[in-house]
Amino acid sequence: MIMELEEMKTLWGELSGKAENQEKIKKEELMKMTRKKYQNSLGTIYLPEILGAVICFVYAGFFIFQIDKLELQVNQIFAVFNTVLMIILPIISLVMLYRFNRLNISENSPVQLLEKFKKDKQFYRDFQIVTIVLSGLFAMTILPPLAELIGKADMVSNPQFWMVYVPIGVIFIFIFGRWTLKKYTRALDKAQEVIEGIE
Amino acid sequence: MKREDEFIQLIQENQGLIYKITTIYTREREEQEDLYQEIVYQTWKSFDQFKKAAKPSTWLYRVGMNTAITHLNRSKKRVAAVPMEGLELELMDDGDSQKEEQVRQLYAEIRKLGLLDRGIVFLFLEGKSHEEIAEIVGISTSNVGTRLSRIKEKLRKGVQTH
Repeated sequence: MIMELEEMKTLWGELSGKAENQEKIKKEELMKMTRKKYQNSLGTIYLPEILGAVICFVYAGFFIFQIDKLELQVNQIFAVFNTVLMIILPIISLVMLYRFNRLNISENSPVQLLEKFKKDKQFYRDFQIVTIVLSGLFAMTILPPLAELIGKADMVSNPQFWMVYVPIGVIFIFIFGRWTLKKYTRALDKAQEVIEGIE
Repeated sequence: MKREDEFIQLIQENQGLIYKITTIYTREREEQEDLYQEIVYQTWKSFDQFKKAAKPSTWLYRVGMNTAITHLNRSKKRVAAVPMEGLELELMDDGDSQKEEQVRQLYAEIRKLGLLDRGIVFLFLEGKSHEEIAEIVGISTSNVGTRLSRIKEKLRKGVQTH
C-alpha cells in the first residue's frame, strides 16, 4: 500500500506534536556532547591524515640528507623525484580535507552544496588517478636509491629482480586503478542523479 | 544573554525539528544519534551566522538539511556518536500498533527518495509554502512545484529511487 502525500502530512503533524513535546535536553548534557563531538571530529578525521603526512615528511627529510651520499646520478634523480612526491601529495590531501570540512553549511543552499560535492568528487577522481600512476612510479623508483644507501645496489641491478617486481606492480596498479575509477564513477553518477532536474 | 545560553535555547526549542530531520535521513539508530549530534555541533559552529540571519526561522532547516547531506556525502570516515543520556530518540511508544505501522511506512516511503527530494518532502510535510521551500533548498518556486508533482507520482507508483 502506498501512502499519498496528503495522508503523510496528517501523520507528520501528529508526529511533530510528539517530537516537540519530548523532554528537553539538559544544558550540561548538550554542551558536553558538543565538546566531545568537536574532539572526536578532530581525532577521527584529521589525525590519521596528519600522521600520514608526518611520516611522509620524515621520509622526505631522510632522503634530502642522504642525496649527497648517492653516487649514481640516476639514483639521485629518483631520490629527488621521491622526495618531491612525499612532500606534495600529503599537502594536497590535507588541503582537500580542509576544504571539505570548511563547507559553509549555513550560507550555501542544499543545491549549491550538492553541486559542490559533485565538483569535488570529479576533482577527487582525477586526483586519485594521478595518485595511482605516481604511486606506481614511486614504487619503482624508490628501490634503487634505497638499495644503494643500504649497500645492496647489486640487488636492483639484477634484471631478474625487475622481471618479477615490475609485472606485480603493474597488475596491482591496474586492479587498484580500475576499482578506484569504478567507485568514483558510481559516486559521480549518483551525484548527477540527485541534482538532475534542477533549474 | 550569553552565547552559550542562546544556543541552548535554540536547540531546546527546535529539538523536535532536528529529530525529524535525522529520521528522514538515516535508518539505523546509531546513525541517527550521530547525525543528531552533528547537526547540533554544526549549529554551534555557525551560531554567529544565525544571529545575523535575515530569516532565523528558515536558518535551522537549511543547516539541518545541509548537515545531513554533507554527512551522507562524506568519506567513509565516520565519527563515532557520543552516548546520549539526556535525549531519547523514540516516538513510537504509545502501544498503537496500527499507528506504528503507519509511521514506519511513512519513513520507508520518504527514505526511498533521493537526498534533495527527501528534503523537499520534509519541508512540504512541515507545512512550508513553495516559496519557503524554494528559499531553503535553493531552487526556483516553479521547480518546487514540478519536483513535488514528480515525488507524488513516485510515491503513488511506489517506484524505488535513490
